[in-house]
Amino acid sequence: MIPADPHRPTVLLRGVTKRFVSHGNEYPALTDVDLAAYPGQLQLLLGPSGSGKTTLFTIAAGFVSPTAGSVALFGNELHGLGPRMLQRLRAMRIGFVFQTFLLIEAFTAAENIDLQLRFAGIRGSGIRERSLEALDLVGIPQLAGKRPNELSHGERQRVAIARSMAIDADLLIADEPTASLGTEQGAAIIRLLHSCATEHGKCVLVASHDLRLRAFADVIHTMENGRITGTEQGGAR
Amino acid sequence: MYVLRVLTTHPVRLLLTLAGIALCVVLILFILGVYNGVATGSVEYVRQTPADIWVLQANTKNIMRGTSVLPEEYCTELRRDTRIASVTAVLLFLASIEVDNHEATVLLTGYVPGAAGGPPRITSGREVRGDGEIVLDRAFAAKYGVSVGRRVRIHGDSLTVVGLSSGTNAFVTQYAFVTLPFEQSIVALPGLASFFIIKLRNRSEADAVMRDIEREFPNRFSLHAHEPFLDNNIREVEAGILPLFFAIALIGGVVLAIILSLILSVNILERRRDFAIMTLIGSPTGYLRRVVVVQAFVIAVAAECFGLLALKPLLLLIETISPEVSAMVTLGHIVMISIAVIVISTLSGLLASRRVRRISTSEVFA
Repeated sequence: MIPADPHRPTVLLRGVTKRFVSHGNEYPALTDVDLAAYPGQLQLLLGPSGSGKTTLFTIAAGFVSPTAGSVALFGNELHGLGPRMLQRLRAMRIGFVFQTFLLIEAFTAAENIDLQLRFAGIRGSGIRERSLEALDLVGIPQLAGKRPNELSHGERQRVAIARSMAIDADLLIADEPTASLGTEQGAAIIRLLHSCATEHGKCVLVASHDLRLRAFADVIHTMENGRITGTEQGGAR
Repeated sequence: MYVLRVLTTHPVRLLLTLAGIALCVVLILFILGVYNGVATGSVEYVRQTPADIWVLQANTKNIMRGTSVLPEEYCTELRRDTRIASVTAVLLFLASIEVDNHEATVLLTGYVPGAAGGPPRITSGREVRGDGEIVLDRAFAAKYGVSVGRRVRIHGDSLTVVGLSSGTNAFVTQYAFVTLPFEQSIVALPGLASFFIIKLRNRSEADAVMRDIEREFPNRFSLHAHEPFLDNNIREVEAGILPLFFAIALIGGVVLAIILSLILSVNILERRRDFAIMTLIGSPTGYLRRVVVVQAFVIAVAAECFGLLALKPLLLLIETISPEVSAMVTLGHIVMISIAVIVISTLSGLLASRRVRRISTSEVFA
């Protein structure tokens, strides 16, 4: 595995096209998408629902193969990686921050992070220590023993971010991370994601309708009907 | 940890699940226990009777389902062999017995008091000493509320219950013991016996004695050393009702497997979001499958423990309701069922875990 290199794109999509087939009919989800995201960058995907943002993420994370084009993560072409390698890649280097938080309800905040650490191959007593450190980084060390249903939406999102930080993920994929949050909580999460890029050197890909994110993004892509129709520099530049 | 958390999330459902599986385990153990009880109880009389040679009517190989009628006078002729220590005649047939106003059937056994062929064990009271006395099986006595000192009637004759015996419950009927002359008087055919019990001075001479008896009385008797005769009777019992018990136990096992599979499938469907999240954050497929199998294992083992705890009170309850139903659950049964439950739970878990592979991460993408 190639380590994160500031000059090498963390995510590189070249001419990616994805067509889904249903009942014999083809539906284009992505058409000829090019995207390069680097360590330390927060890139924002803006676009209406159905514009292809989520499909782009599923392809970037290796869950779905493109119909055409190529995807490289951390310098590795995904089509050349087997399922086990992809699983390890996700466990060790990709963090997910979604609108629905993606936390296991039966686990506490700390246990949710423990689980990701275990999947990343970390063993022993250091796991809990790292989980608590990560919760500390996102500002909620006191909530380690709380279950998701005992946390506010903003706190849950912080746990999801802490989970990514615990494994020191090089890539954070955030799909509508502020959609379920109030104004203040949303702003705090945006700042947190921004700090992941600027302070921790992570590559953060965010899909959102939240226009406040424009001010924190390095690059803004506008998507429509499965195409990137525009790319501009964000307010962070 | 995840498994325990998930299982305890819905405690009522967990309890119902455990109760269902525990009942299956209890059912299987009970059926096997009854099987064992019937198999053992039916032949206990033969097993415990101190015989070296059993003499029956020609072509009869067992007393379970074979008819044997012999003139008692052969006893005298058989006793002439100096190697024989004793020959006892026993008359055995099904008879109606009147207990209070109830009528029941017993395997009435007429024997010579103090000689072989009587009750294997007396649990209360004593053996019969003369006509007008009877020893009843204790399960039979419990069922009809009879105790020592009470009176029962057979063919109009009143008999005093002088003792209760064990090892005389053959499940479908129970042995009752009276004197040989009394029983012969009931059938109005004095001098008849069902079989003779021979005790030898030297047991190792059984084969030689049997050969000589056959030579002296060709084709008149069916002669059996004790162990082969016991085996004949066991085989006869096993060929009867017992396969049915095994079939029921097997059905219990199948029900157990179905319940487990269904519970696990429902659990996977309910938890598919969790599984999708785990896949998303990099869980190996093996981990998810292991979670399902461990879940099956934990449920099965916990249910089995509940089942075993409930078994003893349940057996006591059944014994109170139906004393003639003798369920003899052995350690071997428990080990066998434990292994079966582990195998069934593992297989059910493996089958259910195949569903995990069909859960897509797209289910958690917005």
